[in-house]
Amino acid sequence: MNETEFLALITQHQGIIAKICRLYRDGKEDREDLFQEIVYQLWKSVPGYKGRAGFSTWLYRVALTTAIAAYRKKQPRIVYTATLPEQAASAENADQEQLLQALKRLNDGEKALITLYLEDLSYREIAAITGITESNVGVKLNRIKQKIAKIWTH
Amino acid sequence: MDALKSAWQQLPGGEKQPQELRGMLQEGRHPVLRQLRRQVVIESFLFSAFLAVYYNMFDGHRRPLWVNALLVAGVLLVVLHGLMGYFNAKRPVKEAGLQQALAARLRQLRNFAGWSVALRVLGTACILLFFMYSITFTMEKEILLGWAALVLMVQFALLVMLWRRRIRRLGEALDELKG
Repeated sequence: MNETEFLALITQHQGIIAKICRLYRDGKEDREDLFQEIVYQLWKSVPGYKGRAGFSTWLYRVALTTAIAAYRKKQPRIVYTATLPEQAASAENADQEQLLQALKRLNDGEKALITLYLEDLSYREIAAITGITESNVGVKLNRIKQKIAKIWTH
Repeated sequence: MDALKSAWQQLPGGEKQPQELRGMLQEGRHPVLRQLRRQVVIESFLFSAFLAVYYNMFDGHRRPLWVNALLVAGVLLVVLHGLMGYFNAKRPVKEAGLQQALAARLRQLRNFAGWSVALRVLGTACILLFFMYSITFTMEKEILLGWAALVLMVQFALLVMLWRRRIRRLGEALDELKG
């Protein structure tokens, strides 16, 4: 795969990378840094991409590995504003903000699994990306869904 | 869950232009690598300057050859530490699944953390030995050395804690996927 082909695929799939960054990092600057790290890491990992799996399957794997394993700066300082975050977000999209807040309370491994599930991937595809068995994916996703439901209702 | 899926899929994605994405393929734009490279260049420059002048400035000629060699080794170990960090951060993802890729990263991180602490401790010990050699110790100097040792130990303890935190965090993510 040459640079032009790679960039065309990244342009097409950049939405996935942006969502992963939103889920794994809090501040805008940290998200931008992670986005860059993922794109660089994908480019460096291209020689290992054999094309057996689809491009997006490979992208999920490299992007999630980078998001979880990359060096993180200290957690950002909490800034108290006059408006509650929920209220501030309502102008944009309250559902999306609520969803992100619930997902951010999951641990890193759970975030990876639920990301793939929310992207509408089958259990088989999730198993191929994560390297765990299909039945294990089912068990874990059920637990995560229960956890989200609990967070959602509180 | 359908409502969640729908909210997730409608999250705004990236809107970066191909030109901006092309820039991200350059090593100089990588946030961590850029920082590490700057650190390695600055350290190498400063230590080279130090090695060029120490012999006359810090009486290298009055000390035996092995003490001078220790100082040079100590300086090189510190630079080597920076270089190892830089190349470690550059490693591509090769493994077939997320779980396997994270397990590989964890092994690399443990390995590098061990080297990181060992190189820092050894490098500092070599440099300290050079400066302590042929000093006639008085009470004041002993107290000063005691304080310096304390500061260094605190620094090393912080370094160990930092690595342990990173390793624990990655280990937890891996356990969450496996368990």
